Amino acid sequence: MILGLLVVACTFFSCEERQDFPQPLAVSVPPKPYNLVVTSVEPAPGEIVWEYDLTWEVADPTAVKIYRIYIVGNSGLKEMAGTSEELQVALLWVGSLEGTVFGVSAVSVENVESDLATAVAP
Amino acid sequence: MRVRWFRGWIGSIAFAVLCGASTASAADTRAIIRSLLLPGSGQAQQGHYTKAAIFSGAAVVTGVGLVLSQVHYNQAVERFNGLRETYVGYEGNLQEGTVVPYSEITGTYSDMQAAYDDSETRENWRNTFMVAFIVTYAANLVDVILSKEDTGEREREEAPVGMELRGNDIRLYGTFHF
Repeated sequence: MILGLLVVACTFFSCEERQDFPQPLAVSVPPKPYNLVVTSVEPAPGEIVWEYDLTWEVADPTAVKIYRIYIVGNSGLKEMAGTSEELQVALLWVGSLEGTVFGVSAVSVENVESDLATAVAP
Repeated sequence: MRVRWFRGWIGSIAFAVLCGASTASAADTRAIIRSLLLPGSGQAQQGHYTKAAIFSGAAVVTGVGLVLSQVHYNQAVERFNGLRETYVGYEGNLQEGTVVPYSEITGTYSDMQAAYDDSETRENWRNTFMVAFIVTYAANLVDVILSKEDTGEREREEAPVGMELRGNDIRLYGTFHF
Protein backbone atom coordinates (compact mmCIF):
# COMPACT_ATOMS: atom_id res chain seq x y z
CA MET A 1 0.00 0.00 0.00
CA ILE A 2 2.92 2.31 0.77
CA LEU A 3 4.26 1.42 -2.67
CA GLY A 4 0.82 2.12 -4.11
CA LEU A 5 0.72 5.49 -2.41
CA LEU A 6 4.14 6.32 -3.80
CA VAL A 7 3.04 5.34 -7.30
CA VAL A 8 -0.08 7.46 -6.99
CA ALA A 9 1.87 10.41 -5.61
CA CYS A 10 4.50 10.15 -8.37
CA THR A 11 1.82 9.87 -11.05
CA PHE A 12 -0.09 12.79 -9.55
CA PHE A 13 2.83 15.15 -9.22
CA SER A 14 4.53 14.17 -12.48
CA CYS A 15 1.39 14.67 -14.54
CA GLU A 16 1.73 16.80 -17.61
CA GLU A 17 0.57 20.38 -17.15
CA ARG A 18 -2.41 21.22 -19.31
CA GLN A 19 -1.84 24.46 -21.14
CA ASP A 20 -4.46 27.17 -21.51
CA PHE A 21 -6.95 26.98 -24.33
CA PRO A 22 -5.67 29.32 -27.06
CA GLN A 23 -7.54 32.19 -28.64
CA PRO A 24 -8.93 31.45 -32.13
CA LEU A 25 -6.63 32.56 -34.94
CA ALA A 26 -7.60 35.90 -36.44
CA VAL A 27 -7.91 34.68 -40.02
CA SER A 28 -10.78 35.28 -42.41
CA VAL A 29 -12.44 32.60 -44.49
CA PRO A 30 -11.08 32.83 -48.07
CA PRO A 31 -13.70 32.98 -50.82
CA LYS A 32 -14.24 29.63 -52.47
CA PRO A 33 -14.21 29.67 -56.31
CA TYR A 34 -17.39 28.64 -58.08
CA ASN A 35 -18.70 28.13 -61.61
CA LEU A 36 -15.50 26.32 -62.61
CA VAL A 37 -15.63 25.42 -66.28
CA VAL A 38 -13.09 23.26 -68.11
CA THR A 39 -12.83 23.31 -71.90
CA SER A 40 -10.35 21.36 -73.99
CA VAL A 41 -8.71 22.18 -77.28
CA GLU A 42 -7.62 19.14 -79.28
CA PRO A 43 -4.11 19.24 -80.69
CA ALA A 44 -3.57 19.90 -84.38
CA PRO A 45 -2.88 16.86 -86.58
CA GLY A 46 0.58 15.62 -85.81
CA GLU A 47 0.67 17.34 -82.40
CA ILE A 48 0.21 15.62 -79.02
CA VAL A 49 -0.18 18.57 -76.65
CA TRP A 50 -3.72 19.22 -75.42
CA GLU A 51 -4.80 22.59 -74.09
CA TYR A 52 -7.23 22.84 -71.18
CA ASP A 53 -8.75 26.20 -70.40
CA LEU A 54 -10.18 26.68 -66.91
CA THR A 55 -12.34 29.63 -65.88
CA TRP A 56 -14.06 30.33 -62.55
CA GLU A 57 -15.55 33.06 -60.40
CA VAL A 58 -15.15 34.23 -56.80
CA ALA A 59 -17.27 36.45 -54.60
CA ASP A 60 -14.46 38.86 -53.68
CA PRO A 61 -11.40 38.75 -55.97
CA THR A 62 -9.66 41.48 -53.96
CA ALA A 63 -9.33 39.11 -50.98
CA VAL A 64 -7.44 36.56 -53.08
CA LYS A 65 -3.69 36.63 -53.57
CA ILE A 66 -3.41 33.67 -55.91
CA TYR A 67 -5.37 30.69 -57.21
CA ARG A 68 -4.09 27.14 -57.09
CA ILE A 69 -5.04 24.60 -59.76
CA TYR A 70 -5.04 20.91 -58.88
CA ILE A 71 -5.59 17.58 -60.60
CA VAL A 72 -7.63 15.46 -58.21
CA GLY A 73 -7.17 11.70 -58.20
CA ASN A 74 -9.79 9.03 -57.64
CA SER A 75 -8.71 8.51 -54.02
CA GLY A 76 -9.04 12.20 -53.22
CA LEU A 77 -5.32 12.91 -53.45
CA LYS A 78 -4.58 16.12 -55.29
CA GLU A 79 -1.53 17.28 -57.17
CA MET A 80 -0.91 20.95 -57.89
CA ALA A 81 -0.79 21.55 -61.64
CA GLY A 82 -0.22 25.30 -61.57
CA THR A 83 -1.16 28.69 -60.20
CA SER A 84 -2.87 31.77 -61.54
CA GLU A 85 -3.45 35.33 -60.41
CA GLU A 86 -6.46 35.70 -62.67
CA LEU A 87 -9.82 34.02 -62.96
CA GLN A 88 -8.61 31.73 -65.71
CA VAL A 89 -5.68 29.55 -66.65
CA ALA A 90 -4.57 27.52 -69.66
CA LEU A 91 -2.86 24.21 -69.03
CA LEU A 92 -0.88 22.39 -71.70
CA TRP A 93 -0.76 18.64 -71.27
CA VAL A 94 0.83 15.86 -73.27
CA GLY A 95 -2.08 13.50 -73.95
CA SER A 96 -5.75 13.65 -73.22
CA LEU A 97 -7.06 14.30 -69.71
CA GLU A 98 -10.66 13.39 -70.56
CA GLY A 99 -12.57 12.52 -67.39
CA THR A 100 -9.90 14.00 -65.13
CA VAL A 101 -11.13 16.09 -62.21
CA PHE A 102 -9.68 19.61 -61.98
CA GLY A 103 -9.84 21.63 -58.79
CA VAL A 104 -9.28 25.31 -58.11
CA SER A 105 -8.75 26.90 -54.70
CA ALA A 106 -8.21 30.50 -53.63
CA VAL A 107 -5.33 31.55 -51.39
CA SER A 108 -6.12 34.66 -49.37
CA VAL A 109 -3.71 37.46 -48.62
CA GLU A 110 -3.29 35.82 -45.19
CA ASN A 111 -2.05 32.63 -46.94
CA VAL A 112 -5.17 30.70 -45.98
CA GLU A 113 -6.41 28.36 -48.69
CA SER A 114 -10.08 27.85 -49.46
CA ASP A 115 -11.88 24.62 -50.25
CA LEU A 116 -11.72 23.32 -53.81
CA ALA A 117 -14.15 23.97 -56.61
CA THR A 118 -14.06 20.98 -58.94
CA ALA A 119 -15.04 20.17 -62.52
CA VAL A 120 -14.44 17.24 -64.86
CA ALA A 121 -12.44 17.69 -68.04
CA PRO A 122 -14.51 16.95 -71.22
CA MET B 1 -2.74 24.94 -4.34
CA ARG B 2 -3.08 21.28 -5.34
CA VAL B 3 0.06 20.29 -3.46
CA ARG B 4 -1.08 22.15 -0.33
CA TRP B 5 -4.47 20.41 -0.44
CA PHE B 6 -2.86 16.99 -0.85
CA ARG B 7 -0.38 17.64 1.98
CA GLY B 8 -3.26 18.77 4.19
CA TRP B 9 -4.94 15.39 3.81
CA ILE B 10 -1.73 13.50 4.43
CA GLY B 11 -1.02 15.64 7.50
CA SER B 12 -4.49 15.03 8.92
CA ILE B 13 -4.12 11.27 8.48
CA ALA B 14 -0.68 11.28 10.08
CA PHE B 15 -1.99 13.34 13.02
CA ALA B 16 -4.87 10.91 13.58
CA VAL B 17 -2.52 7.94 13.46
CA LEU B 18 -0.11 9.51 15.94
CA CYS B 19 -2.93 10.41 18.36
CA GLY B 20 -4.39 6.92 18.09
CA ALA B 21 -1.05 5.16 18.46
CA SER B 22 -0.09 7.20 21.52
CA THR B 23 -3.19 6.09 23.47
CA ALA B 24 -3.53 2.51 22.18
CA SER B 25 -2.34 -0.80 23.57
CA ALA B 26 0.41 -2.79 21.88
CA ALA B 27 -2.12 -4.95 20.00
CA ASP B 28 -4.04 -1.90 18.87
CA THR B 29 -0.82 -0.21 17.77
CA ARG B 30 0.02 -3.24 15.63
CA ALA B 31 -3.47 -3.08 14.12
CA ILE B 32 -3.04 0.63 13.38
CA ILE B 33 0.29 0.03 11.69
CA ARG B 34 -1.21 -2.81 9.68
CA SER B 35 -4.07 -0.63 8.52
CA LEU B 36 -1.59 2.07 7.68
CA LEU B 37 0.24 -0.34 5.40
CA LEU B 38 -2.80 -2.12 4.01
CA PRO B 39 -6.34 -0.84 4.66
CA GLY B 40 -8.48 -3.52 6.27
CA SER B 41 -5.61 -5.63 7.61
CA GLY B 42 -5.79 -3.96 11.03
CA GLN B 43 -9.50 -4.69 11.23
CA ALA B 44 -8.73 -8.31 10.31
CA GLN B 45 -6.25 -8.52 13.18
CA GLN B 46 -8.90 -7.16 15.53
CA GLY B 47 -11.31 -9.85 14.33
CA HIS B 48 -13.62 -7.55 12.36
CA TYR B 49 -13.50 -9.49 9.12
CA THR B 50 -16.49 -7.87 7.42
CA LYS B 51 -15.06 -4.41 7.90
CA ALA B 52 -11.66 -5.70 6.81
CA ALA B 53 -13.13 -6.94 3.53
CA ILE B 54 -15.01 -3.69 2.98
CA PHE B 55 -11.98 -1.44 3.60
CA SER B 56 -9.51 -3.53 1.64
CA GLY B 57 -11.93 -3.87 -1.29
CA ALA B 58 -12.70 -0.17 -1.31
CA ALA B 59 -9.00 0.69 -1.15
CA VAL B 60 -8.18 -1.58 -4.08
CA VAL B 61 -11.06 -0.29 -6.21
CA THR B 62 -10.38 3.39 -5.51
CA GLY B 63 -6.59 2.93 -5.79
CA VAL B 64 -6.75 1.17 -9.14
CA GLY B 65 -9.34 3.67 -10.34
CA LEU B 66 -7.10 6.53 -9.28
CA VAL B 67 -4.05 5.21 -11.12
CA LEU B 68 -6.01 4.39 -14.30
CA SER B 69 -7.85 7.72 -14.31
CA GLN B 70 -4.55 9.54 -13.80
CA VAL B 71 -2.99 7.69 -16.75
CA HIS B 72 -6.00 8.50 -18.93
CA TYR B 73 -5.88 12.14 -17.83
CA ASN B 74 -2.18 12.35 -18.74
CA GLN B 75 -2.91 10.91 -22.17
CA ALA B 76 -5.75 13.39 -22.77
CA VAL B 77 -3.58 16.33 -21.68
CA GLU B 78 -0.74 15.14 -23.91
CA ARG B 79 -3.12 14.95 -26.88
CA PHE B 80 -4.55 18.42 -26.16
CA ASN B 81 -1.11 19.99 -25.76
CA GLY B 82 0.01 18.46 -29.07
CA LEU B 83 -3.02 19.77 -30.95
CA ARG B 84 -2.63 23.16 -29.26
CA GLU B 85 0.98 23.36 -30.40
CA THR B 86 -0.08 22.54 -33.97
CA TYR B 87 -2.89 25.11 -33.89
CA VAL B 88 -0.78 27.91 -32.45
CA GLY B 89 1.95 27.00 -34.94
CA TYR B 90 -0.38 27.83 -37.84
CA GLU B 91 -0.04 31.52 -37.02
CA GLY B 92 3.72 31.39 -37.48
CA ASN B 93 3.37 29.32 -40.65
CA LEU B 94 0.94 31.82 -42.18
CA GLN B 95 3.21 34.76 -41.30
CA GLU B 96 6.17 32.97 -42.89
CA GLY B 97 4.16 32.59 -46.12
CA THR B 98 3.27 28.92 -45.84
CA VAL B 99 -0.18 28.25 -47.28
CA VAL B 100 -2.48 26.43 -44.85
CA PRO B 101 -5.92 25.11 -45.88
CA TYR B 102 -8.74 26.69 -43.94
CA SER B 103 -10.33 23.26 -43.48
CA GLU B 104 -7.15 22.09 -41.74
CA ILE B 105 -7.21 25.06 -39.35
CA THR B 106 -10.87 24.55 -38.44
CA GLY B 107 -10.41 20.77 -38.20
CA THR B 108 -7.50 21.13 -35.80
CA TYR B 109 -9.50 23.64 -33.74
CA SER B 110 -12.41 21.18 -33.45
CA ASP B 111 -10.09 18.33 -32.47
CA MET B 112 -8.36 20.59 -29.92
CA GLN B 113 -11.72 21.60 -28.40
CA ALA B 114 -12.75 17.94 -28.15
CA ALA B 115 -9.42 16.99 -26.57
CA TYR B 116 -9.77 19.81 -24.01
CA ASP B 117 -13.28 18.69 -23.06
CA ASP B 118 -12.05 15.10 -22.80
CA SER B 119 -9.19 16.12 -20.52
CA GLU B 120 -11.62 18.01 -18.27
CA THR B 121 -13.87 14.96 -17.99
CA ARG B 122 -10.92 12.72 -17.16
CA GLU B 123 -9.65 15.26 -14.63
CA ASN B 124 -13.00 15.13 -12.84
CA TRP B 125 -12.81 11.33 -12.73
CA ARG B 126 -9.26 11.51 -11.41
CA ASN B 127 -10.29 13.93 -8.66
CA THR B 128 -13.28 11.77 -7.74
CA PHE B 129 -11.11 8.68 -7.34
CA MET B 130 -8.53 10.73 -5.44
CA VAL B 131 -11.10 11.89 -2.88
CA ALA B 132 -12.62 8.41 -2.64
CA PHE B 133 -9.20 6.86 -2.05
CA ILE B 134 -8.25 9.37 0.64
CA VAL B 135 -11.63 9.06 2.38
CA THR B 136 -11.34 5.26 2.32
CA TYR B 137 -7.83 5.39 3.72
CA ALA B 138 -8.74 7.91 6.42
CA ALA B 139 -11.93 6.07 7.41
CA ASN B 140 -9.94 2.85 7.63
CA LEU B 141 -7.47 4.46 10.05
CA VAL B 142 -10.13 6.17 12.14
CA ASP B 143 -12.04 2.90 12.40
CA VAL B 144 -9.05 0.85 13.47
CA ILE B 145 -8.12 3.48 16.07
CA LEU B 146 -11.61 3.60 17.56
CA SER B 147 -12.30 -0.16 17.39
CA LYS B 148 -11.38 -2.68 20.04
CA GLU B 149 -10.30 -6.25 19.50
CA ASP B 150 -13.18 -8.67 19.02
CA THR B 151 -12.58 -11.35 21.70
CA GLY B 152 -15.76 -13.24 20.95
CA GLU B 153 -17.23 -12.44 24.39
CA ARG B 154 -20.72 -11.11 24.67
CA GLU B 155 -22.04 -9.15 27.62
CA ARG B 156 -24.18 -11.40 29.84
CA GLU B 157 -27.71 -10.21 29.53
CA GLU B 158 -29.93 -10.49 32.56
CA ALA B 159 -32.95 -12.65 31.88
CA PRO B 160 -36.15 -10.58 31.86
CA VAL B 161 -37.95 -13.22 33.93
CA GLY B 162 -36.44 -15.06 36.93
CA MET B 163 -37.30 -17.51 39.64
CA GLU B 164 -35.87 -17.99 43.14
CA LEU B 165 -36.56 -20.12 46.19
CA ARG B 166 -37.33 -18.44 49.49
CA GLY B 167 -37.91 -21.03 52.16
CA ASN B 168 -40.86 -23.02 51.00
CA ASP B 169 -41.93 -20.38 48.53
CA ILE B 170 -41.03 -20.04 44.91
CA ARG B 171 -40.81 -16.46 43.83
CA LEU B 172 -41.21 -15.37 40.17
CA TYR B 173 -40.08 -11.94 39.20
CA GLY B 174 -39.70 -9.83 36.06
CA THR B 175 -37.04 -7.26 35.21
CA PHE B 176 -37.66 -4.14 33.15
CA HIS B 177 -35.01 -1.87 31.68
CA PHE B 178 -35.58 1.78 30.98
